[in-house]
Amino acid sequence: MKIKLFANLRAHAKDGLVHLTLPSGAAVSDALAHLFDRIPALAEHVVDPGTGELLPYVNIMLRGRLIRDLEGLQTKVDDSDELAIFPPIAGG
Amino acid sequence: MQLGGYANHLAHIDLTKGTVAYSPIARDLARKYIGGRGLGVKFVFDNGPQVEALSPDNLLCFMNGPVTGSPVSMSGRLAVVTKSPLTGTVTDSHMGGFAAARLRWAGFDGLLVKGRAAAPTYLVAENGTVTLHDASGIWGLGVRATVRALREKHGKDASVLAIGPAGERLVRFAAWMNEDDRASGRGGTGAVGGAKNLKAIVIIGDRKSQPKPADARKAEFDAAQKTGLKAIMEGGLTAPNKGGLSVYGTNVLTNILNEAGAFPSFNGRQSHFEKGYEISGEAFKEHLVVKEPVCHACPVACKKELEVKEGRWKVRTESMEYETAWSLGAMCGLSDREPMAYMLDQCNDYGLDTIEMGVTLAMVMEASELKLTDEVVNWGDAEKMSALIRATAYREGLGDTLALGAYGAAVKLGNPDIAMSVKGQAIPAYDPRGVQGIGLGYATSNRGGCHVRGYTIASEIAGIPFATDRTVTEGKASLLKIFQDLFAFTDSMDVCKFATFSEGAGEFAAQVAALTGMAITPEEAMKIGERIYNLERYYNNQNGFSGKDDVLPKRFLTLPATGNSAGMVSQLPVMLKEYYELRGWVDGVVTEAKLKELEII
Repeated sequence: MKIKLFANLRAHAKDGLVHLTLPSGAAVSDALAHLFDRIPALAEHVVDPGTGELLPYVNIMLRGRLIRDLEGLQTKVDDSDELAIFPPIAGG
Repeated sequence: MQLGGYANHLAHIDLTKGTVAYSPIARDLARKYIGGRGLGVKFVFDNGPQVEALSPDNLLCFMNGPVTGSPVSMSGRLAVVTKSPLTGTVTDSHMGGFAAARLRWAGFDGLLVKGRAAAPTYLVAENGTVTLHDASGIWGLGVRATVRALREKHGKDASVLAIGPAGERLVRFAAWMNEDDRASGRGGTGAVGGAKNLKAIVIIGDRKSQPKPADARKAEFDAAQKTGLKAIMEGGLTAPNKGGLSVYGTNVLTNILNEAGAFPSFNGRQSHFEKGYEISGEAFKEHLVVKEPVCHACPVACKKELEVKEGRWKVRTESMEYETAWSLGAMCGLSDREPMAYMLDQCNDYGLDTIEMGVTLAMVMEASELKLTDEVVNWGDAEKMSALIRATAYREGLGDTLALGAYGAAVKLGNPDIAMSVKGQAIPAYDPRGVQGIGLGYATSNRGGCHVRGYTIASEIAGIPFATDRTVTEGKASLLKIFQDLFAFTDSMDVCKFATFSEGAGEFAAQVAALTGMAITPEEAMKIGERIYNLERYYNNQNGFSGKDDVLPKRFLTLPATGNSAGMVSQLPVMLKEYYELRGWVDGVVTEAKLKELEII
């Protein structure tokens, strides 16, 4: 699957893109685990090291839907999916 | 007892007679409407809702709030309030920088301008006194040249509010600009200045005159100010040099809205822009950002100054906001950053609202495709766009039609449905198909298409103060009402919208209470906001606006979105019914009972 990184997270991967291969039945949490295996420095910007939950205001989209509106980190993903990860951002 | 915070000094300028009178602020009005937007709307209402926007009788208010220019974080906003020549509604449009603070330091809560000068005129506000001066030597100049000329004469530390050629020529979306390229862009307040022959306002004020609380409330004020500052410094969204807003500016939003499929492009025929990344805050920061200016009492520094160092589009200007990147970019099918920076600079110097300009250009591109124009205007044609921006400011050729704004021009060209506007004002950069609540916000905004009346995006996308699902309609009416009422209060203080990303009614009410001595609770702050929102609605009702005007462009209700919101349309009617019930309005009209409940009448 493809993971797209934005804002200050982009610096951790060429063009802000990471390609992963996940086992069937994987969830967003599995995708993140694979991602952090590949790029360990990303983890501290995305999840709480103690709880493993997303840091406040970090948003992850699966095909444009915020995972908080789906099943959170347990949302199922497959190899054709795209995840987009955004650090805390706001504007107007 | 004198209220703290306020200068307790308003200037009433009659340009027809060439006179200036002064008055204090009535205490009961301060309590009910605070200042800034609220008090300005009250003054415009009392001036008579039926006034013609470009007539001498229209009242043009330059307003501060009670915390303006104080140490309260992000308290550098100045509200321009008047009847809009673009929409026919009451409007208020706020600029950042230091002009608002200097106006307070110069001894004013507001400058209220009526009449029409016989010859071009500018004002000087200093030490509690306003004087009128001949502006014939600067009439016709762009904003930058006007600022330079007036600072040479009145000192380099003066703030200068100015209109450019667009305001002089009554372009319906002309802006008031200041020396930092900050704009009161929306609603055509610059055209009201042009109609009055008012070219500029010079403001000379010293920080030593910064508003302070009474001695008895100093500790309370210091605590309230520090609490607010701490919230901003540590807030996930506002933290300096850490939060995305500070690092990339407002244009950090482009990628997340585009990813959601809620980023209107090609005049809203699509809601995803294939080249969105190219015009995002990340891309501008990498290629063109050279400086990060600030406003008064703001640690966030969201402004991003750009420089194109050489070539056809050589320019240095600020600030490429999310809205501007979208309107001149995605809406027009343009993804080249350098001409976008150049066109932003054109808008700043001519004194044009970049949102309305971009949406108007997008409309005329579609009109051209539909063979409604003699001239060919192709999608993404930067040279043509730049030429049309100039033609609009100077009202030449097709530009004379575009000067009416997207809606007015579309009507003239024969197809109002291709204007992405509400109540005659262009929508901003969030697609109401992909984000349901903001569509209700556009439709019910009292100043026409607008995101900052009720910024539900904070909840529907960023997840503050609580997260809601952007795709659903349930709960959006009550969510919007909260945002609309809170923002009406903060616009009256007058603090930056971005303070609300880390502070709430509790912090804001505490700041106003400590500085002024008015014991305002968070609940009362929300009630004051509701009062202001209803007064604006009442003003509009008296101008014939009702539920028939609380609509969205047909496209958003019938043409499915694309990208990651594929298939979605706005469910406005469902939300609108619930919204009216919550507001206590009947078909968009404020009832007498509601007016009495809120002590408006």
